[in-house]
Amino acid sequence: MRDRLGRATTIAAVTALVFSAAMAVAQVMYPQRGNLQILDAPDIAGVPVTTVEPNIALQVMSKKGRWDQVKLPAGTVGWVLESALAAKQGSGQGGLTNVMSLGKPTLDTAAAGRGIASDGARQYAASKHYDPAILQQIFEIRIRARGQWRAFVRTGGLTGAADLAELRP
Amino acid sequence: MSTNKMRAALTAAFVFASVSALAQGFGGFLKDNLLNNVPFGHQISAVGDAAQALSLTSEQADSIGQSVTMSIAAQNGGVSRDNRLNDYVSLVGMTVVNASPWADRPVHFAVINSPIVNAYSAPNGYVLITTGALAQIQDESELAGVLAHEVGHVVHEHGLAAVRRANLLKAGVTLASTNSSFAELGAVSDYLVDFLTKQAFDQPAEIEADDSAVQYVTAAGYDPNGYVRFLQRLAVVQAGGGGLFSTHPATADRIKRATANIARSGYDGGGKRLDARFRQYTVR
Repeated sequence: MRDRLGRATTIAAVTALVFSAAMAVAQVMYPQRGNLQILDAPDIAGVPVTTVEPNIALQVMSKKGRWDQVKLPAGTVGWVLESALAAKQGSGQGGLTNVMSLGKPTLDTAAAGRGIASDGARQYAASKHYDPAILQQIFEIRIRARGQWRAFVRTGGLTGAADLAELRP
Repeated sequence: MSTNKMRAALTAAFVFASVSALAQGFGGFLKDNLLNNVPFGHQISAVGDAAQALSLTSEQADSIGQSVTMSIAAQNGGVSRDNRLNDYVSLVGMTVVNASPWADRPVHFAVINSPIVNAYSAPNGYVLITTGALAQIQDESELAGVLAHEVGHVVHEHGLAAVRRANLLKAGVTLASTNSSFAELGAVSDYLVDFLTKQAFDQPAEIEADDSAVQYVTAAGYDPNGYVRFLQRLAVVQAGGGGLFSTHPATADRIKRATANIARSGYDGGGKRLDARFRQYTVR
């Protein structure tokens, strides 16, 4: 009986050690740039579900190629390129350097270049008498293409994205 | 070590590991729930090296990218009204971007109505290709190569690096410290439009974009030799004074280097050319 109890204790202790080691490597990571988009799928056709700032701790739940599935503090789950994350907060790497941001990076400003003309571009258009609808036309192209992209890659027999280490910035 | 001592050690380790795991969890809770409540204005945002050197925020870099894109499109016949063609170019571009370090950032592609044979990239993810350039391309792998070259300029921030070298923003701090800097952003945009349409990137920038192009198209599943074929065709026409891609001179050195990169990459010859699909979308 004592032997059995001892064995059980040993197994429990070893299991706990392995579990805690897994916890230790795991995987809290931080964005390496502001307004980092969290996507609903691990590819370019993924739709942004939210954006995060560099001080947000993200828990890495799984990996797929160059993409990490992460969980936000509020529970939102999504995908992000692993190269956009680092283990230490603010430890920018690969050409990404932190600077102070202007104002509150709301989802609207995060969307600049993602479908919304910026105030600066609108003012520029007015000063040059350009039609800002040009930008809207360009944004709409990408919105349409995003919905077709996965089928486009499949019918072309393209890999879509290989996991090449040298692509990491 | 006796069995009893080993058990004692393991039990101690178990207790330590459990406490440690709990502490980590609590630390994460603190980080998640307290540190994240820093006011937004004091949070940090990140942009690339060139933008950082100019003290540009990502929003300002994007504003410049949008302004430059709008200006080049407006001065070159506007964006094509052929949605099918625009979508096709965007789909090829997205395939290339998905195999680049910018896979998680939106890059916008469009066709502009100009007979001039050229392609342009603006900061923060904007790529334009002329109808004249499309007329010189023979299959999808070549188009992918040309777009990937422009994506390389975007990824490496060559446009903003040119602005930096021009010393337009000696007072870059001003840009980063005020919201009323539209005039300065406009001046930068004007400079970049002039640079991108009338001058050429320097040789190191072109080579860096070429290297990236070969990487991205190969990773995306295209035949990287398509890009070399396009460069070779360009070199022949440029040698004859054809004025093609005047802002991207195709030199023998660039062709040689791209060819060597493909050989070194271990490319297995299985990449797609997709000439039929290219004709389907581009031939009327």
